[in-house]
Amino acid sequence: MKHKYLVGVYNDDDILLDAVTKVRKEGYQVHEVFTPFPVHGLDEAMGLQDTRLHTIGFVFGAIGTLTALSVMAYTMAIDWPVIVGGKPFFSFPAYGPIGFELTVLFAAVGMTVVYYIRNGFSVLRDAEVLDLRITDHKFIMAFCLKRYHKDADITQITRLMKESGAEEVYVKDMENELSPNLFRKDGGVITEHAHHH
Amino acid sequence: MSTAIEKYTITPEAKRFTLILLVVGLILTAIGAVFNLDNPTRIWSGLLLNNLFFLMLGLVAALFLSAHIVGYGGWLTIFRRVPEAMMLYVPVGGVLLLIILGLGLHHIYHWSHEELYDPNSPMYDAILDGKRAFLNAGFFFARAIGYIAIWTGLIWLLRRNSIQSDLGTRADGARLYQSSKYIAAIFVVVYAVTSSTSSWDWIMSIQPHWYSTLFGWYNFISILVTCIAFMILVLVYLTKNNYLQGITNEHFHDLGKFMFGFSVAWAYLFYSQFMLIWYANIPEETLYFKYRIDNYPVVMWLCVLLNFVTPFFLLISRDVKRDRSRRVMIIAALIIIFGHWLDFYQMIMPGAFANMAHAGGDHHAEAADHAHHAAEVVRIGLYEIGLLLTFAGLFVYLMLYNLSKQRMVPVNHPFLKESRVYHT
Repeated sequence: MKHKYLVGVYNDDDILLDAVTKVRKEGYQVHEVFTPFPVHGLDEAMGLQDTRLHTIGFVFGAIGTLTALSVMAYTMAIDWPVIVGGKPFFSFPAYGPIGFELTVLFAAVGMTVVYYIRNGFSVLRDAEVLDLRITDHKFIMAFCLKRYHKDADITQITRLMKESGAEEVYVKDMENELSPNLFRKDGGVITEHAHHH
Repeated sequence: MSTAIEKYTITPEAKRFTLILLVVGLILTAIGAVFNLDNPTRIWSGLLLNNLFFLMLGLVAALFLSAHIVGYGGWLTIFRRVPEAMMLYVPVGGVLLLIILGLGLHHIYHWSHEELYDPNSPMYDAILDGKRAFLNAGFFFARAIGYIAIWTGLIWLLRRNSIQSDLGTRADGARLYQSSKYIAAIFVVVYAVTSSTSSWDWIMSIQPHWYSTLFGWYNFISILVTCIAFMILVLVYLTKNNYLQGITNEHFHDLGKFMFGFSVAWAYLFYSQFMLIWYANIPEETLYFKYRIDNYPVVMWLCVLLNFVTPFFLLISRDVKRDRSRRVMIIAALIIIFGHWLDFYQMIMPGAFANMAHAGGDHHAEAADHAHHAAEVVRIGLYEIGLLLTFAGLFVYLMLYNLSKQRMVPVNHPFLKESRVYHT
């Protein structure tokens, strides 16, 4: 199934930030924004829920610490005790560096894997990019067009985007849905126009 | 956003608070001192500990400010007067330190005894004789006076620019910022060297046989995180009293991140110092930790608990740092300040007391030394707590007084707007 997106192209991060706020104020949910660099405050302007990735990071990190400590304790103190430098078999201070490394490794790899799975990325498939210019110098606001959106909606959003500083606005079809798992504070529903309520 | 003149006057609660700190502190100090008149080491090293702690706290506030000036850091502009007021303790604390060092040198520093350098004396110490070119009273005091003079001079210049920027126009503000950048750059370099060397002089030389190459960094991080915690407490107090309303959750969030991050950095340095010494197990290095673990285990491990484990778990969550009641942040800041005071205690006092039995004039035989062992270990008592409160009262009062001398918000600072619209 094809997914239709209304794409607004912006030239400046500040203009984009104001534009997102403006479009959302009119009652339209901005589906996704692409920028060449991180823009501070954008997540708030888009109404995104705080990511839970850091919680996952903590959990994976804790698993890493425990893995490292238990493997070291088992191998060095229980299974095959070897005297090293006259230290006790279970030498907690010596386990620090490896414990730290495995914490970081588990947290990093775990977060990456979870991030890929949640966003539907895969190494086996080329990423579908909305507009290649986002990797260089343009800022893009994407609005997901659903079947229930009427022509009037498209005209209205196009007008809003142009008014808020978009250089060009066009419609693009995508094979896959963009960022299907972005959590929104308002439940992830693409809201309809304000006057429908 | 208004740029109205915002001037701070010391609130009655703050006055009462500092007065209580000073009065209670002085009473406890007096009681503690009366019971320890026969123990000049405790008297003088207690004074050294508490004055040094707040002197370094003021000094690192100047570094915090300078590093941001040099690095074009704008986010703190709105509350930059707070570290500015803190750094003005340096001249006061510096003079006090010189007095303490001048009068208490022999009671704190084992190396200052002449007979250690006499080859014919039974007290002759070949290792210290080898370090004598650096570690002698003359050079020691010359360095101390030099540090304090240079610090005071640079801090005075920074402060002068800050005062003048309020009097002029926006253009003056930009020009003075530019001029402050040179001063700040010099201060950062000076601090990089002198923070290490001064901590060798004043703290590490208490146990002159022992050395650690990252002792300076360890001290620096310890006091830097204290400084962040202290600023958080001051800013909570000021915002609750309707000053500095331009400070947002973003500023507190970043200060919280700093407090968390530097606590971890402290743990990193503590561990780096401890683990390498423990692992290599070279007697001359191990004696420092061995002595503390044997005689001061509670203080030693409490430091790790209060300065790393507690802040790590208290502050790891984002919501805690953005919680508008600031409850957890205040608790963490108080724990961190006390924890790092304890860390300074742990660095200074055990060494000073260990010296007592061995120090000049006290010619105990090895056996007698051993018998003395238990008596050497001195716990934290009324005297130390009293001095902590006294110096805290002095520091807080001077800071609030200096804060009231100027506008709260540097209206002509070029980065003021950046600070107001700041977003993490």
